[in-house]
Amino acid sequence: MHYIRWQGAVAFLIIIGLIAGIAYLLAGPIAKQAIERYGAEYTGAEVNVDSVSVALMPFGLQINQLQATDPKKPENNMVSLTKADAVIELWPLIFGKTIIDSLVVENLTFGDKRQTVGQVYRAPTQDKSEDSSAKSSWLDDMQQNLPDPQSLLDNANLRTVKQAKKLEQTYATEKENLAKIKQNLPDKEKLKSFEHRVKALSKVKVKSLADLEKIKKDFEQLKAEFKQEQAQIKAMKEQVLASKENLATDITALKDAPKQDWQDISTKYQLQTIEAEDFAHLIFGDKARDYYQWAEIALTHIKSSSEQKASSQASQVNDNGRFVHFDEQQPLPEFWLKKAELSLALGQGNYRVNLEDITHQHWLINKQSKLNVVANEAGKLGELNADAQFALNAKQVVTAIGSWSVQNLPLNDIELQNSTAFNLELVKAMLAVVGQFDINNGQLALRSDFALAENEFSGNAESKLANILIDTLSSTDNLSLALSADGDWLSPTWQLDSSLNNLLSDAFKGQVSAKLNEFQSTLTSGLNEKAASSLNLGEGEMSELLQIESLLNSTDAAIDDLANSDVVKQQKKKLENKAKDKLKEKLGKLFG
Amino acid sequence: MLSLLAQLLKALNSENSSRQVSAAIALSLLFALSPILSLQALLILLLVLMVKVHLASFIIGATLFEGLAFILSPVSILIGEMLLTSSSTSAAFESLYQFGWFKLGQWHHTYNLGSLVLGAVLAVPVYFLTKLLVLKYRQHIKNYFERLAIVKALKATRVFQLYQQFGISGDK
Repeated sequence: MHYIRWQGAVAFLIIIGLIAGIAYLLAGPIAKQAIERYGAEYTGAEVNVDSVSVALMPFGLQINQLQATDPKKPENNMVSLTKADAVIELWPLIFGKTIIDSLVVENLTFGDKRQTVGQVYRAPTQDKSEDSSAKSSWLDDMQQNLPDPQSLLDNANLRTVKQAKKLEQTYATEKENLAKIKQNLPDKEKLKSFEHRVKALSKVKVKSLADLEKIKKDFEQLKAEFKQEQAQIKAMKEQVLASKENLATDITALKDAPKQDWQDISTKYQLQTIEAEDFAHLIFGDKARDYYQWAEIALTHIKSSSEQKASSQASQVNDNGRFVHFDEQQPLPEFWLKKAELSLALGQGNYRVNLEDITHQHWLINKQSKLNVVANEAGKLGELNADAQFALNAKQVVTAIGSWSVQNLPLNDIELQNSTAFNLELVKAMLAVVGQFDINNGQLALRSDFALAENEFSGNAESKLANILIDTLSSTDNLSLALSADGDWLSPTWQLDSSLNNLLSDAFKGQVSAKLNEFQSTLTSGLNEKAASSLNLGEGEMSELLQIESLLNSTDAAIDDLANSDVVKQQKKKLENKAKDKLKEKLGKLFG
Repeated sequence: MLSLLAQLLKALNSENSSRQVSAAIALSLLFALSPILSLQALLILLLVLMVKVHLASFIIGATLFEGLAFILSPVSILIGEMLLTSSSTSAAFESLYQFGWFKLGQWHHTYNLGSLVLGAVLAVPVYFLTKLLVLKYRQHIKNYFERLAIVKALKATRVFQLYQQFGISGDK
């Protein structure tokens, strides 16, 4: 005991106690400042917290009156809540692991009005849904009346007109080439003269070897002339072939041009949109995208946060040393919300949301995250029951399953389209939804059937087509929509089928099809007429080229025959026969 | 700082505090090499306050050894890296890693572990060296000074007697 200085230990404990006491007293205000500061940095707009209190046993946080300004609409909150009470495990928290034993959130609200306009520190980034609005403004851009076919046909930029001009130019060029070929073509007299000369050589009387040698020499000279002539024919044939190809290309292009012109015109005047008949997607697509974005934001955030965590752990090397992490025998996830109860205020009613085992590292807890949403407020929310379970494996591959059903959900005053030329609003309807989804190895399969009953639509439009749409919607009491999605769960392919498509398609066909067909036939026949005269020229030239080609081929073949003639051989044979006869004669005389 | 130096000189001149001064210097080296905001620094501080070592020597030693800690930090990191990643020792540290207190001390950090090991290894010779130096000082230098006429004259003054009367004890 002689070596122990008790007063030193007491002083140490007092100092540590004082530091801990001050930290405890300041923890609430520090947490409040931290939430407001980092919340603002994250959202880019003002975040307010009324107060934060810290409890020691068990360790927990209570946040009162949190409001996060919506940077797009500073007069509204993006999210707000009355009270959030969390019980957190302190020991894992020291090691950077957030394990929340329980979380109770009261009155969680999205998009509610703020008492004062919030400050925006960072301009919001361009939203995907804003891009899609440009696509859906097809009715704005659509011409009220179909354009005059004659004015379209007078347009010099039409492919048919351009291609016809090109064919005419090619025709003129090739005609000149053809004239040159005609001039240089070997005439019949020349061919006859060649034949005569070959014949003459075959008729020469051979008496000696010297005569045979002379015939051979003359024939070689004649063959050289044939070669020269054939070289010229070859060049002409090549020219004819090139001309044929040029003309054939331009003729094919001109024949295709009216079809392409029709495609361009129908795209420009949105005529293909009418043929596509996907009206449900055009009308309800934006709304569907809005709802999906909420899920997409949540899910991609879970995925990206886990990826960031992994990459940050790998990059903790610097000049001051580094952490060397070993495998833990009982590892805990970075974040684990064991149980949560949320009271969610959306629109006119309240939803109860129960969450269990929410994490992005399910393989560490060997459990699935569970989500349950319930609302039972007839007249306001209808009867809603939704369940979902999901889990990520160590390779960040998602497996999930879920189902939902909504009955008797009243819809009121939902704006479906709002633009200068076309407004459409669902005034009231009663909605029933049944759906389910599953994600297996990251592949989504989702189907949700929507049934709208007691519908009432209202709207106004400038164009005839949009008015047909409004009339058709107004005359239907029931409407069904089937939403489906498949493919990669982060970028699925969406499909929206509806009875509306058939209804509108019939209505459009009745009123538009006849006019559209007439327009198409007038335009197509006009385009074909424009192409016809040039085509006649081109095809006439083509037939002449074919004739010349056949003439060149036959001349070439005739010269070839003459060149391959066996006149020398024949004469040699004659000489040999003569010699043999003479020899026989002499031998006959000798042996008598 | 001047009063701290005075206390150190007094401790050197006193008769019974050579081990306390040596232990304080050895612990100050261990403290200086450790990261300031770490569990090991806090534990050394607790030890220094609880055990009767010479506080002024500890403070002066820690201040002087800070410079040495800066020079030795690459060596500390290298030792930590070798211990944590070498196949012969990593299994032991993996077992220790399973305990919360090990991670709380951040001894899986190369600098923290290296500085602790290096500090502990150097503290032993520093303790004995300091003790030897204190004894040598008392044997030779102190006697030499005390034999000087000016020192004798100063000791005879009333001011020195007052200083001896109210001076701070060196055994703290």
